[in-house]
This record gives sequence, structure tokens and C-alpha cells, in this order.
Amino acid sequence: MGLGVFAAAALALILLARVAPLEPQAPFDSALARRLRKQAPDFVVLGNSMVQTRFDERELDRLLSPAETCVLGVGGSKTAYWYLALKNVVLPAGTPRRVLLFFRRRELTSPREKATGPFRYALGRVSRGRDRVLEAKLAPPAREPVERLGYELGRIAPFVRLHALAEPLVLATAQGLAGARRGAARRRQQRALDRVFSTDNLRNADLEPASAPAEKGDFDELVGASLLPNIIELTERAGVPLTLVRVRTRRAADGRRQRSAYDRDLDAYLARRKVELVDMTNEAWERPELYGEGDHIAPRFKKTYTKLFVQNLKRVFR
Amino acid sequence: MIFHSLEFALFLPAFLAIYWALPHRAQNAFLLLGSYFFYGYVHPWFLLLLAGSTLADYSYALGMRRFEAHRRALVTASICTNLGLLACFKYFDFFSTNVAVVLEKVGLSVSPPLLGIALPVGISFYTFQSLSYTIDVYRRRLEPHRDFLEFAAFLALFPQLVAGPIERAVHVLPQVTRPRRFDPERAGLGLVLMVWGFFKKLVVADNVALVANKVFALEAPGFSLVWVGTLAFGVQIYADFSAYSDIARGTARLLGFELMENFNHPYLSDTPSEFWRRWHISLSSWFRDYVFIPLGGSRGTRLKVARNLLLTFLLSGFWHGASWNFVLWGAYHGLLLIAYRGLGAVAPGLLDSRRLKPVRVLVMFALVNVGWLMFRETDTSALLRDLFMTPFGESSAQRLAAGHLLSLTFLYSLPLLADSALYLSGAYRKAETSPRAGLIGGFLGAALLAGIAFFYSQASSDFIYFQF
Repeated sequence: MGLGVFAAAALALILLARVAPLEPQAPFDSALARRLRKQAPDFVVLGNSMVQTRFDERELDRLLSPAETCVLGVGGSKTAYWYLALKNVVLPAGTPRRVLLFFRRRELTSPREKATGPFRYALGRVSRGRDRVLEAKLAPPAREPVERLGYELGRIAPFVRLHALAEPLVLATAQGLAGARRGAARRRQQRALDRVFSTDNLRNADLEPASAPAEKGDFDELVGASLLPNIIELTERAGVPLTLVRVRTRRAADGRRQRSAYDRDLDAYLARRKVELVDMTNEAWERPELYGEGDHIAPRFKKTYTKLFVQNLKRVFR
Repeated sequence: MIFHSLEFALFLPAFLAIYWALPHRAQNAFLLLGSYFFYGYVHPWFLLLLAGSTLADYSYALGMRRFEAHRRALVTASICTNLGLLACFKYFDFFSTNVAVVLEKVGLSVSPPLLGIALPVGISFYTFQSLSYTIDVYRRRLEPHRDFLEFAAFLALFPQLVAGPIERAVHVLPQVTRPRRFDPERAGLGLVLMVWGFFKKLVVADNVALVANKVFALEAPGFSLVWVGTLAFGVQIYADFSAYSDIARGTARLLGFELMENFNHPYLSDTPSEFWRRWHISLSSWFRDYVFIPLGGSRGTRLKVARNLLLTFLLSGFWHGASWNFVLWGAYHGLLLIAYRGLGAVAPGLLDSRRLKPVRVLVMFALVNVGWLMFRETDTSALLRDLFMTPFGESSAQRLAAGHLLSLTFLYSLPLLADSALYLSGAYRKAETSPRAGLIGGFLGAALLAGIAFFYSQASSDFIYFQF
């Protein structure tokens, strides 16, 4: 009898999840789209904290004047975000002279990294509705049967939708308990949270995990299921040259990094696709003392780094 | 394999279906096979250590029976083998680094040899379980077990292999030896216990972990934030670890085993000694039986008892991890016990009065949380800064942020508060003896399942005690 009640509840929850509305995404960042349209930058520098912590946009603008630059470094973003940003924000806004996309390790062939679960919400800032190409690449490949099964089960019983219904209620209750019941008080509380937990206040090691979860498989196996070919096609179609910049990690900054078979295969692939690659993993001018604890440049060296980058890699800004 | 994974959700039903179809002897063989599969799923080489430890202690125990004159040498060998495994895989780099630091202080600069080996999951748990077996055989509390298969199945029993409860052979080996029959009522209770464990892990622990992780990721959190973060961690570690124990006990019931209770509402304790009778009971009782009592226990002068307590808790802290903050945490709890003993001798009314009980519980809860700060903050300089921080000079933004995080922690702790209230009111006892226990369990399980579906954290993490 007890087991029957339990099973009935499980079934009811699955049915409820299936009829619940799709989980919401963050509103599209129209301000960014407007800014790009107005600015019509010559160079767009795209990436995650590797860009955010490396470049001072004003300094870069000053150094490259009269060319205009736009630094789009979004902490924690990965290929799904970059693909959508290019497709929906950067390329529709105009035709920059070049797009520089910064990456490290195997990020370019990890389409599901930071694109599912709670990260899905943030993708809304650069999404115009659900993207079919992205949706297809989010499904784990058949060589990962357990992950694939989990993905399919998530489609059959999308509890993420129930979670999306409950989470705002929890947050609103917490805000109410903390005395922020109205609009102004809530905005003040949000500003306080943003200020206290801004990237500048974090311990360096906590900015981002030192190592991303290892993706199974070799480059040739991974590239087909990744968003890299789509990113290349988008820029090709728009007639915008793309430069991929492989940045070094702190660990590598302490000594020369060995190139892996994956790196060699990626390089060969990009050469075949006629995409420029700048490999910065062994640049002598990138001294270890410029780094904070993790893979990031220490905040006090942001301007210095920007200057050094332009001095040493002026050729990419052409 | 971890409990809150799809792999486990697929493994358990398949395992149970075959397990209950087998006769007793084959059931034990299958249990051993399944346990090794569970343990070696991610890192198969870890199995070598488990199998080595099993074989060694099985042989030492049989040797004690055969070579009476060498009992002492054999138990010493068992202690050295098990502690040697821990020293090598868990503590070597810590010792090596610290010796290098000391040598550098006296002017000898050496680069310490480091093994840099990944800590085999659960090694602290199964070595202690194995050790308790050989010590019990040495003390003649237990006959050495002749059947290797049964002994290996006991030591590798997968529900409790990775993070406890640290079982005793005297309790579990007879259950391995006896034929087991599927009991639907017992299995139902096991299922409810598992769902409650999953609820605590996915809804409570993983949600408050976001609060604690946020605070401890800050370079310089203010006073309110540090203590809100610590409170969140206090809730997280209890929900997380007791969840593991509940899932382990529930899974064991599905297999026809009864494991010991590992947590009994520890935050309702009003003295440190009561806290340690309710928190990680299997480990505290292990240290009581195999360290504290052999050292002399509560017999002897006050000074001697204090020494015994401090030593026991220093070791207990060190068991948790090769880091000074765990040693400090252990020392802190040892000192708390000594202080409360002193207080009990000077002002017994303070510790006995029924009226003061709620105040004592709150004080104990606050003191335990001071300990959690030591446990969570691995950077010693940050820990000292946090411990001696004052509330003055904190920005209003920090206070506002702390208020919000405190509210979130409170909301996600509500199920634990409800659990404590039900426990205190005796509702659980009534439900267990009710003729409708099965139905009540079904409704409870359904409510918990709904709670998980709506409120699970999307940032789920490993169980904290996996790192020990």
C-alpha cells in the first residue's frame, strides 16, 4: 500500500513536470546589442574570465586607436554562450574586422560545459528563443551511454521545470525574511550581493575551477559533436575573420607546456578550415608573476597585460 | 560510484533483482562482486588496496588463533599495515612538506619528496573497520572468521564502504553468515530512509552548500558573512553526512542488513560529550573503544583524563584530513570536553538544570559552529583572522548580503528543524509502532520525493566525507 502511494506520487510528479512551463531564461541583453550596433567595433574580443581578467577595454581602445574594440569577457561562459553571442549579438550588429575568441584546454570541443542546469538561465542573455543547433549538441553522444540516458530521462521527466517554478518562491521568501519585501529594498539587496560577491572580491583560486571536467575522447571524435564547426561557419558566412587564441594556464606559466595530441589535432583542423590560431601557451613575455593564483591575470596587472599583449601580438589586430 | 548518480540508480535495482534470486552462499559471493564493482567503478586500482587490506587482516586474525605466542606481534602487524596504508596514501605529503618546513627553519633547505597520489576514496573508513576486527580478535572478543568470502563481503559491504558507518565485525559478520530473507516491510522502511537521505543531500545540503561556498570563496568576508557562512556549513555537513549514512542504512536494509545508527540529532545536544554520542557515532565509539579506553579512559587523575581526551580528539581530528585545521578542530573539541568536565565539577547545577536545557543546547550549537569554522577554513591565516574578527567596521552591503544568505540558510534548514521537532515529540516512535506504518511511510516518501522534485539544488556536489 505504502509503495503504491510512493509510486503514484512519482508518476504524478512526472506528469506535472511534463505539463509545467519551460524553465525561464534570462532576458535577452538588448543593451549589449544596441551598444554593439552603435559602436560598430573593429575588433571583438570574446571569451570567459580569460578575457575578463586580461583586458582593460579603455587601455585596449587607447592602444589601438583609432580602431574601436569591444571586450566581451563573460566569466564562466563556454562555447554555447560564445556561439549564441556571435550568432545573435555580435554578427547581427555589424561586420567587425576580426573576432578574437580566447579559449583554454578542451573548451572548444565541450559543448555541454556550462550550458545545462543552472547555466541555461544565463544563456538567455544572448538567445533569441531555443536554438536547434545548440539543442542538438547538448545531447550527449552515444559513446557516453549513461550520460545519454540521463539526458533522455531528463526529457521524459523534466523536473528542471518544477525546480524553475519553486526557485523564485524560495528566493522571494528569503528576501522577505531579510527585510527586502518591496522593489526598492530588493534592488538594494541585489546591488549589495553583486558588490560583495563581485569577481574582484573572490579568492583567486575560487574564480574558476583549475581544471575543467575531462571530456572523454580524442579531438577527432569530439569536434563533430562540438559547436566549433558552427562557430567557424557563422563567421565565414558573415565574412568576418576569426582568430582563436589558446591561452596558457597558471600551471603552464611556471614551465613550458607540452603540446598534447589533442592540441596538435586541433591545430591541424583549424589549419584545414583556414582559421588563424594564436597559441599563447609558451609566450615568453607572459611571465608567471603576472598571474594571480589560478589561471587569471592578477587584477593589478590588467593594464600592463593589455599593453604587453598589444606590443607582442599587434599582428592579430589587422 | 556515488549514491546520487544515474549509475547507482541503474545498478541497485539490477543488483537487487539478482541478489534476492540467489541462495545464501551465492548471495554472499554476488555481494562481494557487486561491492567491488561499486568501489572500483571509477578507479579500479583502488580495489588492490581494499583486497590487500582484506587479505592481510584475514590472515593476521587466523594467525592469532594458530600462533598463540605471537598474538601481540600479529595485531601490531595489522595496526602497522592499516595505519601504514593511511600514512602512505593520506598523510605522506603532509608529513613530508612539514618536515621540509621545519628543516628550513633550522637552515636546511630541502625539496620535500611528494607522492601526489589521489586519496583512495573510503580508505579511512575501511582501514578502521578492518582494524577493529583484528583488535577485537586479539582481545578475544571475537573468534577469527575462517570463511574468507564472508569476511571479504563484510569488509567491502558496498552501502557503507565509502563513508561509513564504520561497522564492527561483531555486529555485521553474523548478518553475513546468517541466511537472509527478503522482508517487504523492512525493505519499505529502507526505501523511506533512502528517500529521506536523498532529500537531505539534494535539497538541504547542496542548497546550503551554495551559501557556504559563496562566503568561503571571498578574499575578506566581514564578521556577519563569516558566521552566516559557518552556520550554513554546519547545516551542510550535518545534512550531507547524515544523508550518506541514511542512504547507506536504507540500502543495507534492502539487502537484508541492519547497520548502526550514525547520527542521532546531534544539534540537540547540550554538552560536548552528548554531542559526540550523537555525531558520527560509529567513529566516536571507535575512538572511545580503541584509543580513549586503552589510554586509561576516565580513570585516574583529572590531569590524566584530560590528557586522554585531548590525545583522542587530536587523533580524531587528524583522521579527518592531513591538514592543520583538522588537528586544530580536534584539539578544540578535546578542550571543550575538558572544559565541560571542569564546569560539571565546579557548578553541576549549570549542566543538570532542566530549565537551562534550551540555553545549553543553544550554547553548544554555537560552540560546535566555532569548530566548523576551523573545519571549513583550510587557510590558517584566514582562519585566525576570522576567529578574532569583530562586527565593527563592516559595510552595510556585507550586512545586507549576510541577511539574505541567513534567510536562505534558514529556509533550507526548515526540514531539519521539523525533523527535530517530530523526534522530540515522539511522533517517529508512534508512527513506527502504528499498524499503518507502511502507509505513513508511503506518504512520507511521496512528500519527500515531491520536495526533491521541486527544491533540489542544481549544483549538486560529492559527499563531503568522501575526501576523508
